[in-house]
Amino acid sequence: MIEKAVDLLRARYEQDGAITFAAAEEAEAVLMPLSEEAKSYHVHCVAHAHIDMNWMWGYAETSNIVVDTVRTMLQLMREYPTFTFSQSQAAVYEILEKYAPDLLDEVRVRLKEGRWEVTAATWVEADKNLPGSESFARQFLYAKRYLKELLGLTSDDLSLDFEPDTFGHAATVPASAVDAGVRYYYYNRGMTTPEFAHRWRSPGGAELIAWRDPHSYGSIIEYNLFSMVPRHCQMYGAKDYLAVYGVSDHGGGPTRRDLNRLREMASWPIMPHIFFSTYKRFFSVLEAYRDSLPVVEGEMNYIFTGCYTSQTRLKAANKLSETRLYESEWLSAAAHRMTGKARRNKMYEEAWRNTLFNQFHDILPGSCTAESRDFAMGGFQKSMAAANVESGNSMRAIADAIDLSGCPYYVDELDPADWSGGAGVGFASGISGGYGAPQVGFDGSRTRAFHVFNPTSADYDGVVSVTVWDWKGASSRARFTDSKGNELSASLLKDDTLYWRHRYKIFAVKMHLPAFGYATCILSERESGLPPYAHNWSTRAHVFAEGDIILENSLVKAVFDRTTLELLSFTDKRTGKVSVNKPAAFFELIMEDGRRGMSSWQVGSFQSRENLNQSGKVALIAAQTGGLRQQILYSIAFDQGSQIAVTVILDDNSDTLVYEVKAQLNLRGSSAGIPRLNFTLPLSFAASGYRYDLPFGVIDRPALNHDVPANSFAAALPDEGAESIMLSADCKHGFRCCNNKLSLALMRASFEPDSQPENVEHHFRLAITALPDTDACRLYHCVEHFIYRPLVCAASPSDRRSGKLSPEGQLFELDGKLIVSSVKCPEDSDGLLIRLFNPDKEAALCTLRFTDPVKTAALTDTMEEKFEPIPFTGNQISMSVEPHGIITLKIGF
Amino acid sequence: MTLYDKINSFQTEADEMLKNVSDVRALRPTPAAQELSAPAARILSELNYAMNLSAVKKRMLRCFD
Repeated sequence: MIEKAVDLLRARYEQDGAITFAAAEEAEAVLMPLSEEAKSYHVHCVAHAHIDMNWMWGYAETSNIVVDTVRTMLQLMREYPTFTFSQSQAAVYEILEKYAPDLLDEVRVRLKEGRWEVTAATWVEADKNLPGSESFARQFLYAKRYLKELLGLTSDDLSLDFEPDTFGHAATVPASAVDAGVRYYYYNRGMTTPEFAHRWRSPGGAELIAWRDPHSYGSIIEYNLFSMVPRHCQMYGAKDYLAVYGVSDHGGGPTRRDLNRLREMASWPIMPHIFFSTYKRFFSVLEAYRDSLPVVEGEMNYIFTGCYTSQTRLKAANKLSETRLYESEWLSAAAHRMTGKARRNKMYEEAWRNTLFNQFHDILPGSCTAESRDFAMGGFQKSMAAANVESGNSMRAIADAIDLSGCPYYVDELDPADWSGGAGVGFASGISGGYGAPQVGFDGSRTRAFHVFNPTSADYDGVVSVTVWDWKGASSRARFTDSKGNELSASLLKDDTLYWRHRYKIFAVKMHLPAFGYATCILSERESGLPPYAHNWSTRAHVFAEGDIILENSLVKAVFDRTTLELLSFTDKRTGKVSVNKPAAFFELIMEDGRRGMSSWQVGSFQSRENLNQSGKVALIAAQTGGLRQQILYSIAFDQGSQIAVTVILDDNSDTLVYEVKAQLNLRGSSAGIPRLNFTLPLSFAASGYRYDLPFGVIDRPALNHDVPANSFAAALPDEGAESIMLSADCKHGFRCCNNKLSLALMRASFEPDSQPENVEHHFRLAITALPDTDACRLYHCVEHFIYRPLVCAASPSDRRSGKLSPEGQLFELDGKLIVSSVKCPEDSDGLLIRLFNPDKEAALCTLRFTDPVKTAALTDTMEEKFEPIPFTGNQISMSVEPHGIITLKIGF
Repeated sequence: MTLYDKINSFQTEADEMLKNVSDVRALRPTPAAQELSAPAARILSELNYAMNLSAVKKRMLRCFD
């Protein structure tokens, strides 16, 4: 039949010199018996406008794009009575609410008619590799809560996670999405296998019905667009197909041309049944075929590997936001529970919205312009202000309620000559201090009390850095004791240093801090005594001495080359494992081939590698090998004024070497080459693979000679034995682990779309940890103690203290191999909300013990809507968490 | 020659010929002309779709690869 039609057409074509209407009609008539079958295929035409929230432009342009796109779509709805339109991203609706509320009213009308579909289960279409676990949850939480209130939607209306342009997707996306009530996933990038419709399954078994668009999310309607529909449908056994169309990236959406073409093609007899539809309608049909859809597991990577590193300021801003918000929410919840301080959920929501916006798939990946970055950094600063100020408020509220009267050595008196009030305002709360919480001094007396908070789920026995303002005592006679009068080990890190007319000292104090709790130390002055400190920090003896520099404590021994400052060996004294036995922990200047273009997205092949610890001008500045905190300071100067300033730290009772780094990379990228800075750690042992963290879990990958994403760490999986080593970072993601080597990209001087994104002073921290084994929970706990440092709050003047709380306190403790993603106040009630996950493939038994008796305990979900009561006894909850499970607990007291 | 090749070569030939005619709108549309209802575009789309339909039915997918 088809052949007959073709032959007829050819004959007429050769005769007339063209395909005429008459010839076409004759050929179509021949095909007419196929019409019924042709129409048995259904094409859901879903119009949308993909709007990049600040890509090659700033927020003003984005807002105009949003408003004018929506205005156009509403006009098209008036002209085409059956036209339907779908729009994603809660941030889009926030722009409408702020700048065009009249349009939003019309959107509400179209929503009621079923012609406007909201596909915004997330705040923005975010990157799906680099954000942390809690960010994954908050994208859903705040987007869905906002849209429910703004537009009267239900959870079921927001069951699609729409990620058309995201550059890769972590293996755990289904688990986090399902926990937020999402059932469907739409994406384009990330899989090379041919499955368009599939079930995407997380390691724990959570599944989404996913559609990987075989076309583009920005298709325009062309005449052969639907030719392949039968073939594609055959692959997943259905007769419904999704066609997403509309001018995209810079918004715009479908045009009249698209709508006219669709209307026209729908009338052709030998075409599928073509109609305006919605994602919900399409996925609902697909749901019926669930059992026949192929199952796909694992991550959808690796798309643009440069995006794991490009524009390091944006990466740092994101991780700092996540870290400080975590700490702050916990402190706020603790203050609420312990003192009745008011909940600040709305303020945190605003801070999170800034953070979530910056996770957009062209912002956090670094593929945006300077204008876009400027906006992101402004939002970041606002998030930091909220997190840090509220951390200070919360610690202050608890501090004010602590009774210090029973603490030996503590003398409750206000020195009338005191001038320390206001000392240290703003100290260390900027970029050079890692945007830390306030460390203000209020008390000028010789006896001081400090309350130290531990935001992690494990007890902390280690070094705390205590800043003391305007203390009139002699540093050599300083004595730190706990609240019971037991003396604490301490050493002086920094003596009297001027800061805005005030002076401070920093002491390292060894303390025990309960998990999710606080402890108190008292500073007093001995009447006499020997200096207890190995205070050799400022001497030059170490600089001019000979031999290797050794940092050693009871757990590990690290040997450094005195000239290059490379790590020559690293030994775990607990196991005897020497995980480094050749020069390691060095900075590399790598030149990538820049000729491929799209330099912020794509990593070029390596053209040269240079070990800067060997080729640069390395200067040992100081070394402190005694005391509670041992340190080496050195710098490396290299090309065109570039410089790296490094402080290597080994604390007492720590198995981790911490590198605090300040880097200035003055090199520009171009098509001639992309300069890049790496930190590289060759291993002494063979590794069969590497374990990385990702949101809500870990992933094992083989050795790969290209950059791969991780949230914060990579650990080698040894061929023999269990002992290993881990490299982690506070704001880096692009690991390249192969050839028995851990390497991490620190900075890349990509040159487009921003020509000089890295020309700034950049601060970051790295850690090398000796591991008895590579248990997933252990890795997470090691990173927790590296990233979340103890927070110190000086006691308030005595006239403010009410004295209800004891000098040591705890919100709750957790036994069991689980990772805590968040501790906060519930969104709509008092009590506590705790989100945990099990990164392991075995079920985990856990027990939570609270200070106060529990009144209600329930399993809820990311949206905090579900309420399934669970058993508890007194102040204790015990339960089992499935392998790779995510649980959210809501506790009432 | 498969049927698919036959249609495909026919379409290529038609494309080539169109370059030499002045009134494109009357013969075969280009995207700029926005005339999908023009006879060539319509019937060639239908033929391609019919081929795909038929191949799926007969499990003759390989001819498209």
